Amino acid sequence: MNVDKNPVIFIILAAITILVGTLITTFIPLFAGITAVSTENIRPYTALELEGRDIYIREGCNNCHTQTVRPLPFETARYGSYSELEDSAIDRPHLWGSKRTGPDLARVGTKYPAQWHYMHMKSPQSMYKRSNMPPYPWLGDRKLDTRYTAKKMKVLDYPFPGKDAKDLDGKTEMDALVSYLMRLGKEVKGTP
Amino acid sequence: MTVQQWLYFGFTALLVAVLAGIIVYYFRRKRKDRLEQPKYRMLDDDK
Amino acid sequence: MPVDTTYDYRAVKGFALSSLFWAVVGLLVGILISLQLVYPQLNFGPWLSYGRLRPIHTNALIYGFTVPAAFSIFFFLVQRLGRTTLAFPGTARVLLWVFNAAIALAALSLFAGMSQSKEYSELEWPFDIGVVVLWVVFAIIIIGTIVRRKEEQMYVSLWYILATIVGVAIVYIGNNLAVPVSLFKSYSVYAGANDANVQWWFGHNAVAFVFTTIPLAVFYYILPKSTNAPLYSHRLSIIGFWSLIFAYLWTGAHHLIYTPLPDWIQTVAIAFSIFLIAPSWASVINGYGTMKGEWGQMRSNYLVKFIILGITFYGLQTLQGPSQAIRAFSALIHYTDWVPGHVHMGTMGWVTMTLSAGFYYIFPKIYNTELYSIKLANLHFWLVLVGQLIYSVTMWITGIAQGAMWQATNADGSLKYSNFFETLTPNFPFWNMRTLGGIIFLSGFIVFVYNIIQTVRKAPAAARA
Repeated sequence: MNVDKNPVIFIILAAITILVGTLITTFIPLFAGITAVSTENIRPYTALELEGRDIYIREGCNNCHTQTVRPLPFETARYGSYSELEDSAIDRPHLWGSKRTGPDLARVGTKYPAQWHYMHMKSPQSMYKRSNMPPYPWLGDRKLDTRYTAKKMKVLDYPFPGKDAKDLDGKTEMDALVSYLMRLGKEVKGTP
Repeated sequence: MTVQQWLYFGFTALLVAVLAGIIVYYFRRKRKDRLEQPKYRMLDDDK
Repeated sequence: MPVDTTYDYRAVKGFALSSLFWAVVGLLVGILISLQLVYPQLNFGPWLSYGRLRPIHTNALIYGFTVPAAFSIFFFLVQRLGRTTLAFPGTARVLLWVFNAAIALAALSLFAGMSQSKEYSELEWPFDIGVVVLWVVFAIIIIGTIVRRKEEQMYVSLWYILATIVGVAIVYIGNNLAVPVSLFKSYSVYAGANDANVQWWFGHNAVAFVFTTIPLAVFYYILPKSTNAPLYSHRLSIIGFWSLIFAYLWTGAHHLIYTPLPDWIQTVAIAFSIFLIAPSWASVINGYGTMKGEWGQMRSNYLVKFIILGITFYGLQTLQGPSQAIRAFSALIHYTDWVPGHVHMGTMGWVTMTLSAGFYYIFPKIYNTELYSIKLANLHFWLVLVGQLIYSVTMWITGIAQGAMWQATNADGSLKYSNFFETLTPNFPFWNMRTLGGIIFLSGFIVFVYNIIQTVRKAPAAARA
């Protein structure tokens, strides 16, 4: 049986070789639920927070910001309690990030008042002269597009009560983004 | 040793055995010419 | 009597030239975002802000340059190694136009902010379906050609081509499973730690099956052919091949060291990352071994410089990667500029140099002419080499500096640099050096593109069809 003489057998063998590592490190743990945690004490995203999260994704904030406080002394000293499975258990997609051009945001909701974010997003340079963060003044001028909000909440299986729907009226994209940022780090198990 | 440690050890031993088997199989003297032949054949002029 | 077959090079030419175009686009975006990191006023409005441009840089260079370059060189390789003509040549030309249209549309969608946020697979779900369909068409053409080959035994380059086809298909589909909400928006089917684990299983194996198996397929063909020296050991490449594509799939979680992902998945990833040194260096040894008694060609044959420097960068890359996967070192460098430094030694050093060697080798053959200028090729080599080294070395220096500053504590245990800005602004001079490295690299690449275009222009009219 000469593998290098028969491309079809070769492809099958290559696929099996590839699937071994795939299943053991990724899909078997996933289906065996080893990363599963009880989500009943995690507050689902409100519609406003969810729309803000989508703006965070649209603007590619995860290209410069992470949302993972590592269990290392200098990390918890700088950012707060280290990230646990509960912090991102209901996040689809996850936004852990891989590069800290800017600081980690996993606990930013507990660090600044909302007003700080409104000013900072509008013009980071006005608050920190040498900041290299792009300014996002136009977020405040755009009315939030809520055409798909109900469908989004259904797909993500988050409750979408009437109160939340009314809360969206007249909101700008900046309001949504700031409401999302203010949530980060607040739902952590055990923090007051 | 716990079951998990035995599993870990057993799996590693299996990997080493499979790798050793592949090396022995492919480096057996009698297969040398057939398996090294493609590297000469690909040098032949294919216009 | 050599089999007299007329090879079909039209798709080879089309994909080669279009890949060079997207490469320059991707490199220009790279220089703009490099500048934006120091001069935020260069973020012009929503469409040209860093957050939207960075995915364009990565997607343009992965799916716009590396993949079409692979299509081009592979369509050449399967014909020559199989001593047969391309299967479904008409389909291959249709694939050329559809693929390039898809890249243009994909870039537009990223400018507009359509993104699934998962790195190197940011394209929204309609594009994911498109990529899968186009990949299947590519696979059918390649496998169709290999099945009707005249040369029964498959040389190692063909294994790496088949592994590329199978690998990319599995990881791309696995990571892009999403529930659409609208034509422009979807949510991943996975959540939290699972989503991160699947993303980096994909992330590192996009590296495996785009940035490793593709250049390896090119390397294993171009080195022997250009030096006319037989490969050092074909059997060694068998061991290297199978252990590479086995081990790579375990390593994704080395992107998630010290994250909430279960520790055993991280540890297994670290262990296999270290094991990966062996199969990677099997190819490096094959490279150096082939040059035994031929090292003079480094001077006499302009092409050999590219291939040997390429495989050398691959050797360095596959030593640096495993070392930074170890928890002690990852704690220092994770999330810092060390990582882009590592990434670009692989992409600018290993991938681009090897693909350039591939183009330098096939263009005179597919256009039935001589290379326009060897002096320009040497200029291209030195500019690309210097640009790449400036890029990576500055990133390693400032990455370690920033990682160390994040960790630094005073005598009483409090953070020495508690204000994040104290660790950010010292990067700026190094980021400007990186931009300089990028500009030097781009100028080298433009010399390369000019050289290729002049080669095409001086080809006999018949060959230019």
